[in-house]
Amino acid sequence: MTADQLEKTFVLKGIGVSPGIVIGKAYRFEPFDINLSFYKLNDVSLIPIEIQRFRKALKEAERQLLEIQQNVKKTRFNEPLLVIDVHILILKDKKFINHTIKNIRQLGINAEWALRMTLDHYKKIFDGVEDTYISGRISDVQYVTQRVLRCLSGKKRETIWDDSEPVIVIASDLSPADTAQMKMEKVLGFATDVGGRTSHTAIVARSMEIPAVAGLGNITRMVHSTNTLIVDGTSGLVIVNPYPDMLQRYEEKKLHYAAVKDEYLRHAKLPAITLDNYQVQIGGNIEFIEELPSAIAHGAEYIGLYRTEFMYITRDNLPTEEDHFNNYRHVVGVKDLLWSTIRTFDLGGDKFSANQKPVKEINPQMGLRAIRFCLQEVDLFKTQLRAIWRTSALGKTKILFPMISGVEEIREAKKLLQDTRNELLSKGVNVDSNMEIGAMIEVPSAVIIADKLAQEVDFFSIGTNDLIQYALAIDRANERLAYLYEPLHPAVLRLLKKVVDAAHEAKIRVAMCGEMAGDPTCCLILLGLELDELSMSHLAIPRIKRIIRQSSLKQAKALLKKALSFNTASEVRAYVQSFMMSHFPEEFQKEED
Amino acid sequence: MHARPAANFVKIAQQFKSDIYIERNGQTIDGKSILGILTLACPMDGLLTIKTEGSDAVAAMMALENLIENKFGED
Repeated sequence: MTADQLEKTFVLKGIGVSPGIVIGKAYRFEPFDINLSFYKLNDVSLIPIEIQRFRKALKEAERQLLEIQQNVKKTRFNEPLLVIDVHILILKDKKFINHTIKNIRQLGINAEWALRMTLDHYKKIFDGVEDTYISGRISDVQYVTQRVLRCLSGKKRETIWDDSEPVIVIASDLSPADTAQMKMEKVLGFATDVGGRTSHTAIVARSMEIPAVAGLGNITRMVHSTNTLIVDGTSGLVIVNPYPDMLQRYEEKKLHYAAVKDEYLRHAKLPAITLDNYQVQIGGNIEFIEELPSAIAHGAEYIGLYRTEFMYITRDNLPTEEDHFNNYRHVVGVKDLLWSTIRTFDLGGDKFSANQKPVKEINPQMGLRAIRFCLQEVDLFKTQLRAIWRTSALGKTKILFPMISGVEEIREAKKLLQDTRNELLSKGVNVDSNMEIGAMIEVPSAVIIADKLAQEVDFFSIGTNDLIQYALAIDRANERLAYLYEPLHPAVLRLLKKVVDAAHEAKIRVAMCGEMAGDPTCCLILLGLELDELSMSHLAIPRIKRIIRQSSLKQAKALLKKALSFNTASEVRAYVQSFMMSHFPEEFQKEED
Repeated sequence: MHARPAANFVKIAQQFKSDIYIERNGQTIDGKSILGILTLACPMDGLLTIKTEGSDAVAAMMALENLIENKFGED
């Protein structure tokens, strides 16, 4: 494997067994990393000695399990006790012991080999059991076998991570004895090959309140201890080597996740209507269809931004029209959603795994990416457009073009959209008769000519992350500049106002789909701006809705007016922050907890 | 039978000198062997026959009956 491959971004889908989001380094947990040697005993006189060795290993294994059990009893977490109980019973099971001894005696083989044969014997029996719970119990026999094998080899069990960094534990599966020996405060999350909601890993993770995804197939083969991972236990996803944008998005999600309280969820489905009866439509941003159930549970009324980049990144070849379609149709097929806005490819060509010779750009944020890249790679673009058209026949779909910087780009994109529509119609394929077309407003030039762009499209969607980065000339990834990244900068507020005014002048709707939309501190400013739609990480929705429901448009407009009167970003922030804290004390105290 | 009730059964069975057998669908297993009980794969409402043989057979049977009546100590 080359260094390139090690750094490749890819996504693994499993079963989210413990909710939450965590980002960290992978740690491959390998309990069974002993080299076994199988050999024949070359003299009959060695047989009793071998049996003795086996019995000693059994004793040692039992001693270890009892010790672990004692340690577990000292913790607040008692679940493993019962499972360790079962393991001790297996260890002392006469059938299990006698089967192994019989093998040593009759076949003249060493204890390791004989024990291995016993395990295989039980594997066969358990495989024959129809009940999946029971057949899954072979894992208990395996753990016991492995522990005895380790004792036979004379190796001490590794005690883990006294001085290591916190890690995400990657394992095939984990037994209570495995987790009982881990320093839990060093474990950020779990990702396992096998298992489901009721597996031990899941139970431990839930009781420790750390995210976990199980049933990932073969993550242990695909991930190395140096990889960075995102574990999204809410949606059942593990993202390996996330690229910077994605990483940032998940850092954000993580914060929102921590702020969501159960009580919020009960009201999450209520509309975001102010006390003076002004409604803002609240949507969710997603990038994986697995996030849909969680988005709906958190109160998303529609999908305001469906990012499609992962389709290109996580595979070795380019996605086909069918690949696109098969993903999109899940999104528009959800009944509880008013509509879904699909954004076309928004990265540079270097992000394709399939792209053999990407050109190294010095400033990729301003490079050949998003709509610019798509307008050059027309075939690739049209594949996606065709799939979006086909999706539009199945449910309310809107299309959104990213990184529009001028009228030519939107016209060209629309022409390709029209071409693909005609192609499909001539083949008798159903499409929506008037799918709404939107432009992302994220390049400052687009703000300045917003009135012109408004004549070309049905709606705007403001991407604040890039807009702020471009307007303030701040590389978001540069930590030394983080202090300058300020959504409440007077220039940003003026840009936003200009976009909203231009849109409303042209009688089109204007949405925001950047991080700012989900930022509780900015909530009333955005309300005062009279944005029609706010689409955000779905985890941010419950809180934003609560704030809007407690506020009034009048109050928000007054706040905006005052905010626009300040000269410096720090004055705006100080004023807005103290306003929010004094008017919504409950919402903002919670942050301090 | 699930692992936990199976473990409770075995723990009680092992307290007695008598041999303890469980029979189900013509298959007989050693009631003191957890692997035996697990592989018997008896479903929740399944029927099984318990036999105890030996000096403390009656006491063993009573203890096991008591366990089953108490739903294997699960509550």
